[in-house]
Amino acid sequence: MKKKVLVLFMAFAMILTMGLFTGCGKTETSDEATTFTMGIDAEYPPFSYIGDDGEYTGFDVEICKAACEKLGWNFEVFGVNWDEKLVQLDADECDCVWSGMTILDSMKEAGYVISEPYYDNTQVILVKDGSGIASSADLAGKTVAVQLGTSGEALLQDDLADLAGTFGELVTCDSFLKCFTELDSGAVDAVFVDAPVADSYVAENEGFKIIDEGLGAEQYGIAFRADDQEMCDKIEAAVAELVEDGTYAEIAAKYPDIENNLLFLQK
Amino acid sequence: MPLTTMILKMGEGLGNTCSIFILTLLFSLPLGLLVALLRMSKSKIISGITRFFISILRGTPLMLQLIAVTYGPYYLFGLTVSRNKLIPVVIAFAINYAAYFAEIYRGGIESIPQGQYEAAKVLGYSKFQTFFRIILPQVIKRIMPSVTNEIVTLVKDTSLAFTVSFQEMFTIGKQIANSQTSFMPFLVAGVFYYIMNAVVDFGMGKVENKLDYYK
Amino acid sequence: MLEMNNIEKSFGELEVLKDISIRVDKGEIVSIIGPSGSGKSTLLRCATGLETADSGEIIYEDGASFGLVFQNFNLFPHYSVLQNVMDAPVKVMKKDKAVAKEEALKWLDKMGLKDRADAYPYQLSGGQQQRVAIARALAKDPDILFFDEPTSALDPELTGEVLKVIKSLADLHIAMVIVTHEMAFAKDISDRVIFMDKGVIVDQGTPEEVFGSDNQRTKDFLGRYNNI
Repeated sequence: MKKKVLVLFMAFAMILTMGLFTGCGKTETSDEATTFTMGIDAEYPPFSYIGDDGEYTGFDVEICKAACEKLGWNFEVFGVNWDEKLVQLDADECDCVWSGMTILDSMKEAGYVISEPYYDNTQVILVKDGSGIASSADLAGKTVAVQLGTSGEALLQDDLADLAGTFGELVTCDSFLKCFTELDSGAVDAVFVDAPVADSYVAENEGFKIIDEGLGAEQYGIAFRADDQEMCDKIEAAVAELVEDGTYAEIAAKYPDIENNLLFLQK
Repeated sequence: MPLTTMILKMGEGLGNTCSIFILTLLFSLPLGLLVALLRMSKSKIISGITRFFISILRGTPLMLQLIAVTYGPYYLFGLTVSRNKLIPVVIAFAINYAAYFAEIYRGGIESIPQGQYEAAKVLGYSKFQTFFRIILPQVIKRIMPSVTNEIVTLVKDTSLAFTVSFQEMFTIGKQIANSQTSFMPFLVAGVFYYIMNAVVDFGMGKVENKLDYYK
Repeated sequence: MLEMNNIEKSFGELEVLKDISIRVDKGEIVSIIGPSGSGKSTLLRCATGLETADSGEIIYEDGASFGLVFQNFNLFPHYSVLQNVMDAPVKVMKKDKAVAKEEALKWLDKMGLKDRADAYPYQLSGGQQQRVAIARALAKDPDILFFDEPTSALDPELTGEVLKVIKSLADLHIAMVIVTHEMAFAKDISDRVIFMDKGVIVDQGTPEEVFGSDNQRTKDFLGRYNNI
């Protein structure tokens, strides 16, 4: 009788201890019931956005979902506030930031684990048909809009500061939609914007033209917390499998605007 | 995206918007009264400290306070950020609005003639009775217009919760707008806010009418 | 019943009450007269605890209770006339509500305001408001009732009705201390008149004594009133 109680007690203690350890983080090695929370900017089509049915979708979302299926993880989406995405990642609100995110040296320096790049991005200039603007040189004295917090904005302040210096005025909007609306209404002459965003806009709206000079080449990747190298490896392996079995290309085919710049499909 | 899907999706967030609104009022109205009383305390230290906190809460953007309340505990003490964002959001809103309400209460309390206190004292009312039976009812009537103003502002301020990724109606509207390159969600949001404020106006109008039995 | 001994009170540099001693007996009616700033009102405020005397003692013998009628009425605007009168008896004295209501209506009746019981103060004339305030003070069954210039805030044509009801209280045998500028009224109603000036009691006695006083200061003051 005494023995039975002792065994029961020990079993209980073990369960408790295990619970404590596994409770420390959802990134523990035991894969079962792991929930992977993907941090996205829900305002960034075609990588991550709200679809016609009102659910989160986009190229990145679909790939992540498929990768989680491969890994047997539960998949969740968390809409970050893009200006604070790394704070929210640190604070454990999501397990990664995966949302057409430009890889910056500053992220690596800050210790974040960054995946292999998967997408080549350039900045393009979106203008109205018949605006007479044919190259970046024509922007001299013109009013140009850029989205706050994007790599385009960072570039214009840094690497492309000389170009920005020729603008008549640089207007910062807090969303692409506002940039485009300003352009459409004639409030600005051009929008400095990520190529895929411009592509998908032009595909749906008439009367606009893209000027692509390969400005500000950059790459997209996934950011994880500093101690999540293992998680990053697993996701990368799962994505590699998706590339292998053709799922990746299948999903990419749904997003013709970005298909050509996907690095895994170019190899 | 069909308009019905858009309205339904934003309607989901409307529940969260209403939660912020109702819970903020529930906590900030009594808290504001407490803060007002501390602010009017005879102790210079207590009133000084309270005054300092009020000046910080009124002198910095609510957006900043939202970030501080949500992420401050994590950065300062390594505490996990609450999965339920409603908690930090309501705390930040309630504290901020309490500061504004406190100043409104204070103005109201100070506008009550000294004679009311004296009459109550001579009649033998305790300090507690004097405040809650004699002074406060008159204060409430006097501050009604300013309180209504604040409440209308609160309806619109709920949209600031997007700062900490709380999925309230406007956050979702903004996401849909940029996902679908459409201004329609903003129009829908505007209608939602307008309806909410119409309800607030109606309700506050009723309360003011009820208090109109005396001058 | 009330004894105030050697009361001193200053506001900053200004000495308002200088060593004042008075006594009020049960059922006695005392008028306090004197020019503005003589300290009459401050004396009442000290007696009712609205001001604290700097020195001296105030004794209510045998736990005597008091009421105060203000110059500005100070009715509670959010209460009806009836509530104004019965709230303190119910909430402070813990009287039964029905009893308190009955008594309140009795006092209002005495004030000639029974039919206005459900009105609110803003609906009443100043004279009516002051009569409600008197009923409110009486409802607490005071042994001594203070009046602080009860007609000073009223239009002249309304002072009569208030003075009339105060006079009608004389047969209740409640002691009354009335600070007033109505000299004819003071002469008529008082058992004793106190003339104060510059913080001291200059003269006191029966109305006949004071109004016929040889004291030069009393004479000068009373000389300003020609309708006594």
